[in-house]
Amino acid sequence: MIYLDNSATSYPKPECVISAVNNAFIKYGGNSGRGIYKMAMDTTEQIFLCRKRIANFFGVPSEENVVFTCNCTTALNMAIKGLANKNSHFIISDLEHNAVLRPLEKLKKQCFLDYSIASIEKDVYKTINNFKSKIQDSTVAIICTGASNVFGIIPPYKELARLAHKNGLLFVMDIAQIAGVIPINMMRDEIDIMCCAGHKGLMGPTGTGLLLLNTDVNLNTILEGGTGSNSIDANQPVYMPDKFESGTPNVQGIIGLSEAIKFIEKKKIENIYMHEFCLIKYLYSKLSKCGNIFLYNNFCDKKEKLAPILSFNIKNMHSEQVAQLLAEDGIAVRAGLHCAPLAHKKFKTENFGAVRVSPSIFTQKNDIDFLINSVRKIAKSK
Amino acid sequence: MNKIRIKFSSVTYALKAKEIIENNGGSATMRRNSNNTNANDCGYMLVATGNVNKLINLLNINRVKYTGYEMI
Repeated sequence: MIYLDNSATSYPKPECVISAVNNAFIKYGGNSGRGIYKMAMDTTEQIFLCRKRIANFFGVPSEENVVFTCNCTTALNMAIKGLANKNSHFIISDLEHNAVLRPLEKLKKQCFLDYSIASIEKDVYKTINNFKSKIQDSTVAIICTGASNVFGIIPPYKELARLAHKNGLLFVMDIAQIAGVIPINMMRDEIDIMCCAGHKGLMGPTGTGLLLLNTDVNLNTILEGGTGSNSIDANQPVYMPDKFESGTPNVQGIIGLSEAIKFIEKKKIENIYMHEFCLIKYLYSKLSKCGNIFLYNNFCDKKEKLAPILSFNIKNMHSEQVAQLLAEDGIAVRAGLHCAPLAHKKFKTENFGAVRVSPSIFTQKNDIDFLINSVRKIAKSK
Repeated sequence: MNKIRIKFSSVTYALKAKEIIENNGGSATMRRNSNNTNANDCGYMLVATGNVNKLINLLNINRVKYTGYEMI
């Protein structure tokens, strides 16, 4: 199988991640932050070391500001619902995933809050003005993706963070598609909250996610329970990270995620990006010469800021049909709407979706050549 | 050289403190707090050896939150 669906979840995982997870099941089988016996203490220490590595990797001000979640959706729900107050207002981009849109829409339907959608343009100033024009007295935060999970577009997040802070708002980022592929630093880039999955670009196990908080962010909890701390009190702890980590953590997953980050640090994130982007650029240059193929971004245009994610369509074919034919050729891609209806509406692909190609550090040029030949064959038959 | 018990609200702070103390030439061991029914207690404490003022100052300058300490 040629796996090109890394935006959904990365595959294969690095060998060191598999070994770390296997080893964790044997060596770190205790519950973290609860017992005093050696295995429990070793497990607790491992989780602390993972927290430290992650804080360092993402420029989080302190280890305790790293919160382990089970995926990016959970982290985004914690951020959105933790910030939401009665009659509050949020601004989101028109590239957001349903992990952002649906929690807001549910709260809007309950007449609890309202939100506005601002368009991301090729022109940075137009984008900033679009967001600026949506700011209301009740706005509490701007929420923006680090990169569209369908079209790879990277919004001007540093400028949006500045706009948010200039207007007394928080800046929340969904970094699911850039974590592990594009360098991002919470303190340097002045981001208040970052949410990501551990199993996509970070190449960790599924069932892992991160909620990363900058120093002055005060969020309410959406989940309460046992933390192993302050057990006599019926109230949830108010201090980090216990406040947001009720229940037994995914110890083996977290250890695997930490090992995956170590792998990325060794490979260097810039090299990972270049490897993946060159493959996508090559794919773009070949597909753009084929007839009957629609492409949505120009990966050869240096002015466009894009993550290595390419979506395409074949004339008169539904994206799912194309993905089915590619699957029959042994190629794994993702078709449909990618849980991102806003992005598809923006590109007018909501009726037939798009075929998304997302490589990883393990993808080779001959994998892309095989895909190109297969796509050409399908396009010619139409 | 004195021995002190330092208490924390979260095990994350306890481990952070342990690392800082050890990186600064001190020694610290994690223990379960036998009197852990107090509020703001994670159930763990550090037993550290060294100059009490220096140890506490070390935690303060590194902004490690502790809930209390006592000489042993």
